[in-house]
Amino acid sequence: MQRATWIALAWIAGFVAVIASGSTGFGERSLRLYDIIPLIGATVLTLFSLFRAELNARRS
Amino acid sequence: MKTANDASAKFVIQWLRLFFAIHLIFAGFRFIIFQEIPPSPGHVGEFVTAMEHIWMYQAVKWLEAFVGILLLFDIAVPLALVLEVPVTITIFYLNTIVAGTALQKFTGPQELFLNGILLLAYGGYYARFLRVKAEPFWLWDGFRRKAE
Repeated sequence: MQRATWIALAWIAGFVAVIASGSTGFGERSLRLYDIIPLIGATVLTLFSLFRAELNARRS
Repeated sequence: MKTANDASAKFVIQWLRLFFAIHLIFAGFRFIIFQEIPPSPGHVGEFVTAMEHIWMYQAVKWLEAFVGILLLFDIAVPLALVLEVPVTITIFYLNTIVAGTALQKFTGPQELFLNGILLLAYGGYYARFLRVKAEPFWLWDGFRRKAE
């Protein structure tokens, strides 16, 4: 994989970890659907774009 | 110098935009469909009830849903981000300063961070209006000058 893909993945993983942990009030309660859906939705859609960019880079 | 459209930054910004979009769509449509107002502690609850009585809360939820859709489909993103600023500042103030529970102390700054970082990421589009000296200039004249 390209270096840029790894950097993007590392940043996204960091945001997911911080937001997921903060959305629980740092252990005060469990994650709700309201917190989980934006995290999963944004991650799946961005991974799809990353995957497509990676494929295009390999083809060219 | 790296731009906001460089490969890695582009995808990180895309993730932030999509996260903010889905978060706003959920917040907006949860109220629009289920008429559900999440319980808020103390004075925040009083403020939300007062807003609901004057139909301001409903307007904010429709605005959130609208901005969320624009961000999700990548339509007029710079405008959508500016429209969301008053709501973001209100949420930040209420959650961080007025409510002040552990959860709200996170969600308040989170809202400000998401809107702020996206405004910065798309900030190049605002460069023209960040001028010190400005003369009256109709919107339509601005469009015409751009086309010329």
